[in-house]
Amino acid sequence: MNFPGSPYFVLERLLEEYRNGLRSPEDVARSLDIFDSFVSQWNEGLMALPVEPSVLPDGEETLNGSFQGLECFSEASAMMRDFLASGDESLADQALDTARQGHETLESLFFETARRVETLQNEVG
Amino acid sequence: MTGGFNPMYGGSPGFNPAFGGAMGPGMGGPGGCCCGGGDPRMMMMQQLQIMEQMLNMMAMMMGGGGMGDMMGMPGMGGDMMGMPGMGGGIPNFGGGFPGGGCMPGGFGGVPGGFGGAPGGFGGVPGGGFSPGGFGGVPGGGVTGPIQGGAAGQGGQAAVDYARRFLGRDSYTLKGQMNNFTAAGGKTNNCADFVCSALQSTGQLKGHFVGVRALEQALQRQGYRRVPAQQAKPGDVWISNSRSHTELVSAPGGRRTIGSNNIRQGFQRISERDKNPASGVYYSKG
Repeated sequence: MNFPGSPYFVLERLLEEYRNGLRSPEDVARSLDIFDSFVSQWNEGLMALPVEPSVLPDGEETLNGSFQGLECFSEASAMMRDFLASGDESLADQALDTARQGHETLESLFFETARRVETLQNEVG
Repeated sequence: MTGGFNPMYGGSPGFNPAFGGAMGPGMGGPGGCCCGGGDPRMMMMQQLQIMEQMLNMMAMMMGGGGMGDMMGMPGMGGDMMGMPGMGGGIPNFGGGFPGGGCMPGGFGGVPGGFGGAPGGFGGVPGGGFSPGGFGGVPGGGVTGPIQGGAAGQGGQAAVDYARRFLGRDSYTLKGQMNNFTAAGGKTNNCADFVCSALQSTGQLKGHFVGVRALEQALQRQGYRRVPAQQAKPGDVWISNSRSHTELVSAPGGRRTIGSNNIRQGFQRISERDKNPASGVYYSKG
């Protein structure tokens, strides 16, 4: 997996630090608030993108994929909170799995979009 | 370090002009004209510019944008470390529409600010969350529809009704919960559930199984968007991306009940804490 600073890796590290006793539940909860705020900002940013179907017919599809990726992160955060509340380790595993799905979704979209940008740049000259 | 936004992103409400949607001069204008019969090269330029913006957003998200730093994890910051070919600074992002030519450099610079609000989705693992006293009715065994509208009044009645289904797999509510259609099969029943709770207790007229359709119906029927602090039981929470909705079950929007994902492609009714910054709230006026 690329992007070692991605939300997935942030969550993974947060969990690791919690399990190692480096963070209290309250600290993790505060960090998840920050995490959620970032995801929210990104959601807003995506919604503000001027994707016109008439200009970029499949732009909405890419955007929807991005939203889904972000939703995975939000979902993972919610699961982490559930883990904190219940202590059920399986929830932590589910949270990471869900975040990984988000990561992979966005990673795939990123590379596909980068490839298309490069192609377009070559065509535009 | 509470809830504030990374200064890297500007933090101010409102959007960065870079993402603000205004097409630059000569780019065809916001209405998306100049398509079809327009100059193909100009069209490609427009596509390129939009895609560059999308790419920039993705780069920011995948880089973490400084999220790790704000959580006290130095070294996980918002750069593109480890990304092959993404090392350098970035030309062109940050203000209006660039004139193309971004890829060669890489990403790094992050544009100004997005404003505040939220997104989010559901996802609650099975079990462990229904508040005492309401207990789910797991697994079925209930015959005939459960009538709504008994317990509380107004919005609280919708919450009370919704709570009767805690712990149930959403698709099993068809025939049990008034008006519920299980339109999304085993998933995507969030709007169906919220709408059924409201409709069955007289809080909403009509049935809407899509989040956007539900939002429009709420607006038409007198619901108004309110700050989270003003949200009360029976109000409606909707994620920013309009992909998920739940019913507010506690004052201040701090708890919600809804048809939430417990794994990919499967939803169950659960009640859970909600970060008030994670969506928008509609309240009946």
